[in-house]
Amino acid sequence: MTALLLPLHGIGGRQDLPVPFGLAVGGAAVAIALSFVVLGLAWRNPKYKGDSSGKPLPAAITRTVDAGWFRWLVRLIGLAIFLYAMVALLFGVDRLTNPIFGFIYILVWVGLVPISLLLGPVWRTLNPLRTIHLLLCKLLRQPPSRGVLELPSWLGLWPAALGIFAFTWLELVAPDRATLPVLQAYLALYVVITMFGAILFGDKWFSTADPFEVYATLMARLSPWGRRTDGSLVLRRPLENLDGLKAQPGLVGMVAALLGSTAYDGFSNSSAWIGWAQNTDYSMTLLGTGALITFVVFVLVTYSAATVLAGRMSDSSRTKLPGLFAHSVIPIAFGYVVAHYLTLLILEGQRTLIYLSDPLSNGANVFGTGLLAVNTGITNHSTTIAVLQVLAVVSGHLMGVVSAHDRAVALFPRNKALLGQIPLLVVMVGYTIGGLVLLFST
Amino acid sequence: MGRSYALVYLDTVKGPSKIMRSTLRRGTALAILPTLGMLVLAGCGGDSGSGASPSTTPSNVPTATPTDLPTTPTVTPTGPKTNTPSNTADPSGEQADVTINVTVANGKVNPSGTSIKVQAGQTVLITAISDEADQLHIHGYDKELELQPGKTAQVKFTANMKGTFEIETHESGKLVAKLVVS
Repeated sequence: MTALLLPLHGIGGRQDLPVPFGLAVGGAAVAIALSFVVLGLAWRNPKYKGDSSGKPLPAAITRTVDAGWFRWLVRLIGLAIFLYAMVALLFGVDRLTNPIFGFIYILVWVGLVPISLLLGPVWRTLNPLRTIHLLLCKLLRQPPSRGVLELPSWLGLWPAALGIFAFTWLELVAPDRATLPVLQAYLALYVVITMFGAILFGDKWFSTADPFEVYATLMARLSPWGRRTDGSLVLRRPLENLDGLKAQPGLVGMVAALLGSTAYDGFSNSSAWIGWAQNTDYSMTLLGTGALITFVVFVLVTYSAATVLAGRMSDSSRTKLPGLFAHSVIPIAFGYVVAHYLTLLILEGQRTLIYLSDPLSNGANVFGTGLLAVNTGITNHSTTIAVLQVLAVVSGHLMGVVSAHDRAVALFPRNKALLGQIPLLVVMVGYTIGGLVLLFST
Repeated sequence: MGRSYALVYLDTVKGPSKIMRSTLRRGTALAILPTLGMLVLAGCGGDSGSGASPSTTPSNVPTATPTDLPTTPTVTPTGPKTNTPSNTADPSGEQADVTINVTVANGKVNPSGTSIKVQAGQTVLITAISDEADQLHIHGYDKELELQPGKTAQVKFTANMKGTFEIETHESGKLVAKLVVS
């Protein structure tokens, strides 16, 4: 009977094999070569027109997406999924067969990336807390945008950047992070801060402070779907979509938190780090916290320094430049995310869907998935996985370099545009080689 | 994300009686099947562990050197175990393609975070000895070794899934080794 006491470790039990050395070096070489091709041969006049571009979708689609009933349908789907997960969080048992762990760490945190990529900025509407806030406002006959206080404009996305840091700390560093009390405490904090802020500042708070919504909104900029300045839904090239992202305070912080934490995830799995850290006299929590902060601050400082330097070299305004180029780091972060979490999402996503049928671990089979087994077929295609990982990092790099190039020729004086790109290009090559080293060494 | 789930409390896990009660109350075949599945999964690790005889005294702990299989992959996992030199390290006479000896002493583990390469399809034998009660867990393959002070515990399995899998102690939460199956 003691066998029943053992938790089934599914989640995170397996990591990908290290990428073969040749593939990592090849990827790095291609990334560097492509960078200089873009720098030397690409267009000299800005090509992307951001939010004013795009081919309108058929009117029927726009009408449906904008229809009140459709919005409510999506909102209620989001709310229903959230409430179902809350049952597992509040009443489930504290072991890994509880689907809440996979729900938060895999389906929400990793899954919001492909959802946003496929469907565009849908998270805003799915966001259950936004829906609860909206319902409350309806009940009180208040417009949801109204708050008690005005949000200061310098705040921008900084609260969300802090939220990303907090969540990644929970996911990667916190002791006992895969136990119910810890997850309950985190979610209670998240719900209270988000809802309290929304009451104080109105529903603008969600797009400024809800880390999941802000993250999803950024990733949706890599989707082909967008809304044109005239209000119509359009199909446009992802990089054009990305170009439409407005510079705002905290965007650099957001990007640094995303890229830095993903890099830390790879680093913290390396044998060298664990082998050293677990035999020191300091706690792993302390060391992990320090390392996570170091990674995020490293990205923040190197990126900002490169853009400020670019401003100096091209005689442009320096203080605004970090924000104006921040969009170009998003594809790099996306490449990292794909490389690190693709197989995790496929394998553990399946496992979570199986566990979701039995939220209270009492043998229920709500969706009929409870008796299925995880298909581990992809684990045998290790070469394909490695190629996909390297391809993701290199493509992310290429998209970043192209976006930055277009922004540079738009912002910098013509004769200084090439020179001005060099600092950021060097930093981006650094991020990409760093990403490949992490894939190779873990 | 690998390490994130590593530190799992065994203490906080609800007792089996509670689960069995609610399972029986529902009384459906559907309810019992997953429980049985868990028993089978978890049982594989525990059984072979308790069956191992402690043929070495605690003071005479085998030095933990992960012995990889030499270059010739002639030993097929299903075929008869032709003798390879690395197999002799095991005290109980069990044979495997790859043998890993683990020691836990004074809160330190040996090996500590090393990568051990295994070819897919090879058999892996893990022998562990600890100076205090703990569990050794092989992630992904979901094998669990109960460690009692001074007693040798063993588990043997076939590495039929590719990837990197952590071998880790539960109570102290240390990474012993990574099994790199390729």
